[in-house]
Amino acid sequence: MQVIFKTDYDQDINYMVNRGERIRILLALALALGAPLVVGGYFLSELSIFLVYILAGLGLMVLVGFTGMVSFGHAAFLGIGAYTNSVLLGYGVPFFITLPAGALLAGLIGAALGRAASKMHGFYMAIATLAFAIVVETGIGAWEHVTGGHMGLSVPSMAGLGLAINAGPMQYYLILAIVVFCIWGVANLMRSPTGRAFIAVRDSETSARSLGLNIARTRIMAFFISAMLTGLAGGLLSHLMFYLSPESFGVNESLKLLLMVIVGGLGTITGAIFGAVFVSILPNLISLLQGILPQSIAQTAGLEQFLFGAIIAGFIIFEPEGLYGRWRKLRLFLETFPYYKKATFTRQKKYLKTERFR
Amino acid sequence: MTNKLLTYTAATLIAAAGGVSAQQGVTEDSVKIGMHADLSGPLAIWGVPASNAVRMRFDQANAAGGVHGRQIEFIVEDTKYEVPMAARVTNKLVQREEIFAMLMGTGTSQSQAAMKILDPKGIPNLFPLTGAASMTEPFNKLHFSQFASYRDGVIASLGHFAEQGVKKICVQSVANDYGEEMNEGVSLAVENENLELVYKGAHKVTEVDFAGVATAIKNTDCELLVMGTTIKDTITLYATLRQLGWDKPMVGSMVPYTPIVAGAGDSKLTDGLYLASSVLAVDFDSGNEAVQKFAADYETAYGEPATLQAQMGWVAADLTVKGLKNAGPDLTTGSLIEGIEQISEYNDIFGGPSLSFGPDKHAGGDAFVLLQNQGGEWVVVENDLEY
Repeated sequence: MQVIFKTDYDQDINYMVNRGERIRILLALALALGAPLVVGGYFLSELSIFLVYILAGLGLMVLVGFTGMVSFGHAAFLGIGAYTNSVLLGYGVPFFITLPAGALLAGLIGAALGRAASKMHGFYMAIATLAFAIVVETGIGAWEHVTGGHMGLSVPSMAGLGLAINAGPMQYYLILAIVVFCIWGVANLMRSPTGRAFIAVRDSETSARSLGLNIARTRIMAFFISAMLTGLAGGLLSHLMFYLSPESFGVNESLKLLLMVIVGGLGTITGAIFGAVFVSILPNLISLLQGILPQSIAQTAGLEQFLFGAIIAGFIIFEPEGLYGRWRKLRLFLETFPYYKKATFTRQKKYLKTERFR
Repeated sequence: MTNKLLTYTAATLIAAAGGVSAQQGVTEDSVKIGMHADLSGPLAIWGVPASNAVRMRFDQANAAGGVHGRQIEFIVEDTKYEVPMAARVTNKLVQREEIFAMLMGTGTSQSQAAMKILDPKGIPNLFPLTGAASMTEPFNKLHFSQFASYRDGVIASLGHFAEQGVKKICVQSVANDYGEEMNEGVSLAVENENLELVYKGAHKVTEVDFAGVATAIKNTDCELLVMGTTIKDTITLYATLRQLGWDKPMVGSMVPYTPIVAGAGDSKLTDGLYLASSVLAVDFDSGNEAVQKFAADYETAYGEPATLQAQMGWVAADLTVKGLKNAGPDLTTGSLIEGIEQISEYNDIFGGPSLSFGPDKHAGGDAFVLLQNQGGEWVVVENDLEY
């Protein structure tokens, strides 16, 4: 492992490990704050979508990256958040209540799913979450008198207490504030006993259990927080989508979120951000690719899903630490040139694969 | 008159409130028109020919010196048939390209999302590529459709069959927005024509096996089946029912109106199927001179034979050019709306049902054609099916 020399106890609890990181994050924040002064309305809404995907990815990261449980159905929480927010807004409830309400409902449903899934592993959990996503999508489609069914639901504008936030800098800053707050919150969570319990459960269930952790409870907690964050992202996303239909929260969207965290780099907050960058550029890359490929392949239906799958598989095989891991290796390579050695990043701890209680 | 004036003032006010002048996208010698279309997704077979044909008609208009000296600039953006993507590209068209009008957006939900962005800015949404009633209902000055809706199609065809003595009907629809609209048409027709609805079924978009559904329908005593189905499910359900020996008429919408459905299984599988359509697909080889010229031009320009969707695109673009002409040299959103509303008894070169617009009538279709699959060809049974 890469070793950071510690000269101060504070280093153990700092949010950011080194000065370079601090400078980069401040720079990114300054850029995000200054963006509305420079870019036009269209880019601003694209940036907002990007920010919301960071939040959704962050939610999934808590589950997949930090607690080591896979979810193929996170778009369902995005959908629950989006629909709760829009339906309540339709009844005239102010947005500062509807947004948390959507997040909370998603969180509670997530916890319920977590209760069922907390005893599952691997494939079983993947299938359970996938089935859950399909049930939610079908449910939204069938619950016509509330969700508008497959006809879709028009999203009312963000309003409340005589305050109406329409597309533009106001909305962008609101989203930015929420996303930054959540990133800070997750960073804090990961320094707390709960967050450390997540990581313990991910790394070794046996060790976590022998340390007195209640594994099922920890997992349910992880599901709750993860679903809540994704639900909040869904509520925000609804205002950028303008019109909701159940198909927008299908399996494809879930795959996209999973792609995001895996490509970005599992187990780090920065990974969620890197992943969001990648997913935002991906459609452009795909259409570029469609231009190069022969007509018969480029026009095949399902090319996008195929590419999603191929990219996930590729990263898992060749770079499990994702883009963020790649970036750290590149940085270390430059910093320590010419003394870089591959073994720096080889995991030292190895656990028995047979570690199972059932 | 005062009423009309009021609505225009309202439309202009809405435009002004959106912070955009009514003349966004218009200069002395150009006018910008945008389109969001599925160019690479599951409905690319609709979006690509439609956008191609629109471009072809606009190129012709431009070559003839433009409309009132203005060259039409046409910008197409790809949505992959995804709703969020439609919202994104509409944002782009409105804010970056600053279009004057949106033309022929592909898909119902996609157009709904786009209209949420267009309406506050006072930008008209013209002739979307969908027959959903929600494109022009509730009435909005800015919304126009060249089709009569799927819903009205059901009403028209059920009216026709009710005259022939059909009393009890069944309906089987796909579980999406289109299927729901077909169901709505059925319940309205049941009320109007005093029919009895005996069976109502729904299936998922991905459903491939209809043995259960077909048996359920066969066990009822209905005398006609309304099919709110798309392409594959139309073929399968129809064939399954016929195999079970059910011999009552079945009627669908213009969605399965393709040669693929008529010709399925050596033209035997769907023989006898009825459709109500508000457009008429022409035979490009044996049509009149204008049609043949269109087909030849299209094939030279895009390297593939013209289709029904190309036909729809051409009509939408032709209507737009007519509207721009009627609007006069002083082009504003208000004058374009007025220009389109002046179009009446419009007959396209393909011989489809006539189209009329008016201050209170923004859905152009006046009537439907009832078609039947006879030996692999769609044959017109009834030409002017009123609803």
